Amino acid sequence: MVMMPPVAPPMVTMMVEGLEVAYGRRPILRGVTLPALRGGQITALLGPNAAGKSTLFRRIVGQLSGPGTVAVDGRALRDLSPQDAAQPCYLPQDTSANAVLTVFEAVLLAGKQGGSWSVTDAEADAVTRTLMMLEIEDLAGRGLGELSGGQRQMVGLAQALVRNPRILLLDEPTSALDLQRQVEVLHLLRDLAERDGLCVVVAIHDLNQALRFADQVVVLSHGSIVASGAPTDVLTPALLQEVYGVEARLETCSRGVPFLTVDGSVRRRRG
Amino acid sequence: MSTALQADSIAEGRGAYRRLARRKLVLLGVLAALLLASLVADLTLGPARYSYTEVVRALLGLDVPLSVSVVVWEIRLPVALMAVVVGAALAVSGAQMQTVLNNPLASPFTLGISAAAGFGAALGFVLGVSLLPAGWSAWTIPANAFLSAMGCSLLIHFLSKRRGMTTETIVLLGIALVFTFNAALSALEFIASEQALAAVVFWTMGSLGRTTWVKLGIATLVLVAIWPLFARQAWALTALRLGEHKAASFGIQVGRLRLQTILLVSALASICVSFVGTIGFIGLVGPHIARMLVGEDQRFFLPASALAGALVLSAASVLSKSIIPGLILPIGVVTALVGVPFFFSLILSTRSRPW
Repeated sequence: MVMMPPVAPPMVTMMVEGLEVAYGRRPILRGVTLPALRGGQITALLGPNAAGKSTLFRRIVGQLSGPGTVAVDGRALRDLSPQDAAQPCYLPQDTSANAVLTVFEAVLLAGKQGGSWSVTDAEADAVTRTLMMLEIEDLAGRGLGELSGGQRQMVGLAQALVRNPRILLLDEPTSALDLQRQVEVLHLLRDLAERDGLCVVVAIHDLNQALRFADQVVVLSHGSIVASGAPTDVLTPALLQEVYGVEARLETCSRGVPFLTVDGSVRRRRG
Repeated sequence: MSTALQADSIAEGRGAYRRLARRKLVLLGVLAALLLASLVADLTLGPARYSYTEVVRALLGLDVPLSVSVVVWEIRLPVALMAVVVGAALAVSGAQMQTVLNNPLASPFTLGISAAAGFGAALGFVLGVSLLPAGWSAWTIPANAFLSAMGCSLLIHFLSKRRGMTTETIVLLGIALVFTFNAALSALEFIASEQALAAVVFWTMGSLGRTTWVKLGIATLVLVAIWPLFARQAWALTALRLGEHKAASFGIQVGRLRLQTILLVSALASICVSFVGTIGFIGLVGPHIARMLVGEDQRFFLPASALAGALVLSAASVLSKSIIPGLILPIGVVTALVGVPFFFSLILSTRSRPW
């Protein structure tokens, strides 16, 4: 259940139905239909490696083609221009870029696509504001090549957020971050969802963080959705064994917060 | 953080960015000034040495001996300007190839464009084959070189349109084409008469000596026509260097942009190479110098590449006339021999990573 913020901008809704993608003759997505993805909510996309999470994101934003429909507020995505405000903003996992650009320039660049040559004060300020929101404004003048993996990931987030998206698709945005940054980023996403009505879909491996921060979870395995719903309903021992091949328990800590504890691995079923 | 403090930080961020942009503009200005100086120096040199005053007066149409005016305007100016235009064009081609192929080694040479041009020229020299209809014999060699280079570019273009082609595969294909055309060129050289062989060898060394106002005009026109197409895509091209997936996530049609850019720079490089022969290295080094100076924001990187390439080739032209008095060394040889140590020192002396 999601509490609606008091003054909410019109909430966005994205519908994803029957997506299929194949690389050659090998199917990667086999008819993926997601529950409605709404503004103000965080949806965690879970699944083991090679389940098709990145492919699903790339299919949603139209980088890959195949059967199925994606619609934002009733309008099919493929009918929208690439710079349309309703386009979901996708942050890929790859952070290897070594372009000779400062962090400021790299973030500015993300916001300027399709824009004119000149950079207005408002545009420059939006960059600083985004960096401040992520608390990385001290990196502004540093070159991309000098950054650590975690810093690059933060810059990637800034590049996504500076574009003022209404729908944000994040592919493992916290995988290279230290514990403090992970928590800060997830809190920030929570705030953005609640305050600005952002619709966040985040592929994540840490199930405890999914439990803690997501409104709903979707579990992808071998290119199909095997479960979706409230985190505590979905992440059952049976499902974890089926999908991840682990023996795990869902416990409640002394403060009443649910958490997962993993006891061991079972032989994975071949699917 | 208090609002006042926040406003301070925002103003500071904006200020820092504006200063960075201004510094880049100043660097562009310095490059342009150096280029102008090199251009004038180039005009003073030749079998007869003129003073700077004479050259400037001749350029401005002031009172100078007729011989000076004729030599400067008819003989030296087209050659000196050709060095500038070809240097700029080759560096721009190299810059965009490095950008779209995401590879620091890419240049018109890596993709086989100049090898193909050399082969086309040799066809004309050795077998007397003309790819043009009869009656255009004066243009046989450049036309052969251009058509052959364009053929090579189109081959790469169509191969890279195939599904699943990565930038690495395109570079590999280009290198394979370099070897193929070089082997074909060697085969032609093997059967060539002594006279034709000399012509081929001289052509492949690269020379600005064959320049005329018409050729200069054509090369300039192509550069000027292509420039706005790149300028319009400045943000998208810069984003390509963040990686294909990242660029695509910004809504950029990566495949289309890459194909379009490869086609444009191939045309640009083919024109240049067909007029001046194989002047290697500019297409590789011009963009690297620009990158070290102003980074890869294309709004600065593109003009900086053009200016750096023009400056290197113009300076090479000056050197080619002044190393051995009375003799003009082939400019392609000078560019590489003098340029390479300069380039090494640049790479070794910069603290930041050049790529």
